[in-house]
Amino acid sequence: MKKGFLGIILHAHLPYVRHPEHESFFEENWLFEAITECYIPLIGVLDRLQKDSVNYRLTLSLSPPLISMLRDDLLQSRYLKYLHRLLELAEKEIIRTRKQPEFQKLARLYRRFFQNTLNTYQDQYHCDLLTAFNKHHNAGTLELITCAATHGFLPLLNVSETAVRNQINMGINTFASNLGFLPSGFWLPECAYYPGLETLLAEAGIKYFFVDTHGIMDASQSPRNGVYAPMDCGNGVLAFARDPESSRQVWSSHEGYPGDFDYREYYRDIGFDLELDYIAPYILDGEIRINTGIKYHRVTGNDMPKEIYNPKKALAKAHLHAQDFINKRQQQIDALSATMDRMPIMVAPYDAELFGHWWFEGPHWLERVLRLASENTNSVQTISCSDYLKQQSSHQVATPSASTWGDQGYYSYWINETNDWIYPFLHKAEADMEKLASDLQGLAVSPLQTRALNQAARSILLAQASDWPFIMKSGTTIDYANKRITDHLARFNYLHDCIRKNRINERYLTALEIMDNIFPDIDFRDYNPSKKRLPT
Amino acid sequence: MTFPYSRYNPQIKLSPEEMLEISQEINREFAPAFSIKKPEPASQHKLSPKELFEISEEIRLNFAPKASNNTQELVLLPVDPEHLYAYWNLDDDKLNTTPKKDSENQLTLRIYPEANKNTDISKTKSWFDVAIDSTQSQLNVFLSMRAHETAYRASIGNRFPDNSLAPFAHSNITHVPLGKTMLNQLMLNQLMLNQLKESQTVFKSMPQFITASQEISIFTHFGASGQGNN
Repeated sequence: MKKGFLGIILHAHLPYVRHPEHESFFEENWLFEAITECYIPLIGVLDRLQKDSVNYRLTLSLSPPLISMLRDDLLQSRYLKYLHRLLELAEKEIIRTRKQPEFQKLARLYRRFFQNTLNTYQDQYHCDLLTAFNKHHNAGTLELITCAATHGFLPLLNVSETAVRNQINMGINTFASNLGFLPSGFWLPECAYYPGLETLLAEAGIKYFFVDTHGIMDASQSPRNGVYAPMDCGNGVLAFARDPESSRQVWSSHEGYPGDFDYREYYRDIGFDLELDYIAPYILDGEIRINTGIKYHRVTGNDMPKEIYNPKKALAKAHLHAQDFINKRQQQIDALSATMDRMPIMVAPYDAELFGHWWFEGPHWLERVLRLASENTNSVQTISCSDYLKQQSSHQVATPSASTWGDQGYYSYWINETNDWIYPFLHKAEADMEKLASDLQGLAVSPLQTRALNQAARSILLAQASDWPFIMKSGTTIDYANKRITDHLARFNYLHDCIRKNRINERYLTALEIMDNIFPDIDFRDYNPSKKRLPT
Repeated sequence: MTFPYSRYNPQIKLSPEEMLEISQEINREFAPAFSIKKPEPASQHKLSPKELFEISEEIRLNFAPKASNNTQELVLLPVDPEHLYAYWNLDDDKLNTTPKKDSENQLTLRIYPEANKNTDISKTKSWFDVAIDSTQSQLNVFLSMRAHETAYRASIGNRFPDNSLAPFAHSNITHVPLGKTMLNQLMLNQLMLNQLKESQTVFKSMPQFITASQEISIFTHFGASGQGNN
C-alpha cells in the first residue's frame, strides 16, 4: 500500500550560448554535451518507461534559454556536425585500440552510444527534443514546468519589481509559445526565494514553486509537517521544500552515489590522455585539450591508478543504488506517515545535467528508481506536484524564508568580491530601460524603433542570467562570463544611445538581432513599470 | 504490399520502408507547431560571421558599461542573515568636499534597522555607522544587530562630531534572510535519524558496498546551477 509520495524534479538549464559570429564556438559544446549525455538519454528513459507501461511521475523544468537553444536551427545543425565528429572519433578509437580488447570494447560502446544518439535526435525526433518531452507530458507521466527568462537571480534583481516580473513572465511566455500550454509550476533560479515573490508568481498564474529545506523550516510559522508538506504562501501559491535526505544521497560530495568507485570517471577523457597529434582534430583549435566525451576509466578509489571502466558492473551498481534510494525513502515514509495527518511528500530536486553528464549512469539509476517506485512492493509513489495538489487541498499558511539551494544557503555565492561589480550595471541598465519604456508611453513608435527597443530588452535579460556571477565565483570560465555580461550591457548601452538620439543603424541592429535572437515575442512596453502584462 | 480488403488502390504497392518514409515526411512537414517566431532581421542586411563579430567588438569597445556619475544613489542588497551589500554613486563635488577618514567629519554609511511588528523597540538601537572613504563605492556590511531585525535601510553622508549625519543619498529598504536554519536543520536531521533507528530492518540488510564511497569527482559546473547546499 502506498503511504507517501516522492516528487523527483529535474531542472534542465544552460545559459544561452549561441555564437553565429563564429564558425564554431567552444562554449556551444555545453549544449551539445548535455544533449548527448543527458537530454537524449533522459528521453530514452521516458520512452522505455512508456513502452513498458510503467506508472510513474516525474517533473522536468526546462529553462527558457535551453528551450530556445533546443529549437534553434543554427545550433541544431551545429549539433549534428558535433555528433558526426564524435562518431568519427569513436571509429578512429576502435582502430587505435585494436590491440587493447578492453578499451576497444568501450570504444565500440561509444560508437553505439553516439549512433543511437544520432538516430534518436535526427530520425526519431527530427532534431526537436521539445516534442519528445511534450509527448510524455501529454501522456500524463511527465510534468513540464519552467523558470525565469534567463535564469536571473531574482532576489538581487528585486531592486526593481518590473525586472523580476519580466524575468518571470518572459520565461512563462517562452515556455508556452514553444510547448503549447502554460506551466503550473515554476522553478526559481537557484531556488532563490525572497518573501513577496509569490505575489508575482500568482500574478503570472503559477500554482507552486520550490525552495530549499530552510526556506520552509525558517518560515514565518513553524512548519507542522517539516518539509514533507508544502506551505501556502498566503495567496494560494504553494512552496514545496527540498528533502535534505534524498538530496544528500544523490548530490553530496561526500556521500553521493555518483562518487562510487565503479562509476565512470568524468575527469579522465581521451581529450587529455592521448597524443596531441592524434587528438588535435577533436580538441579546441587543434591545441587546447578539452573533453571529447570518450572516457575509459572508472572512479576507482583514493589515490589509486584509475582502472578501466566496466559498464556492466557500473549498471549493476546503479540498480543497487536505486534500490537503496527507494528503501531509504520507504523508511522515511514509514516513519513520517505515523506522525503526519496526511501522506508525506518528499521533494527531490536535482540539476538535470547531473544525470548522464556528470554521472554517466544517472539515467539508468533514475529509470530504475521510477520502475521500483511503480511496483506494489513498497510504500513509495512517485508524484508530480500538480497531481499532489489535486489530492491535497488544505495547507498550512505561512511565508517561507529567504533562501537558495546554493553554498551557505543564501545569496553570497551570487554576490561577493568576485562578481559584485555587475549589480550596479545591471540595475542601471534596468532603470534606463524602464525610463525609456515610460517615456514612450502613448507615443507613436516606428517599426525600426520597436525593433531596437525590443532588442535592448533582450540585452537586459541576457545580461541578468545568474550563470555569469556563478561562473565568476566558481572560477571555471571567468573570461567568458565577463565577456558575456559586458557584451550584453554594451549592446544595451549602444541601443539605448541610438534610441535616445533617434539614430538607429539598421545594419547594426540586424547584427544584434541575429546574434541575440532569443525571445521573439518580447515587448519593450512590458518594461514600463506602470503597465502589467500577464503571460498569455 | 496490397490491401485487398480496403478501399485503397491495389495498383499502388508500398513497402514498409516506403510507408515509414512517407509517414516521417508528413510528420516533419505537417506536425502541429506552436509559434516559434524569430526576430526577422531586414532581408537586405546579409551579414557574414566576420561582420557580426566586427560589429560586436565595436559595440563592446565603445559602449562598455561605465560607472554612473550623474545620479546620486545608494542601493542595499541582501546577502545572508549576517550581511548586506551596499553600493553607491555620489557626485564628484560631494566626494571632493568630503573630509578624509581621520578628520573630524567622516563619510559614513548609516544603517537603520527597520523595526518589525514583533520587535521590542526598546531593545533595538536605532542605527549603526560604518566609516567609509571616498575611494569606495561598495561595501559588504556585517550586521551586528541581526538578532532583532531583518529589514534595513541606509543613508550615506557626512557624519559630524555630534553624530549627526548630512545625508547625500538614501537607500531602498532591503530584507535579509532570517537565518534560523542551522538549528532547525540539526533538529530535523536528529528527528529523522531517530526515526530511522527505530525502523532499522531494511537499513541493517543493506550490503556494505552500497554505502557511500570515499572519493567523488568534484563537479565543476558548465555554467548552470549553484546546487550545493548539502
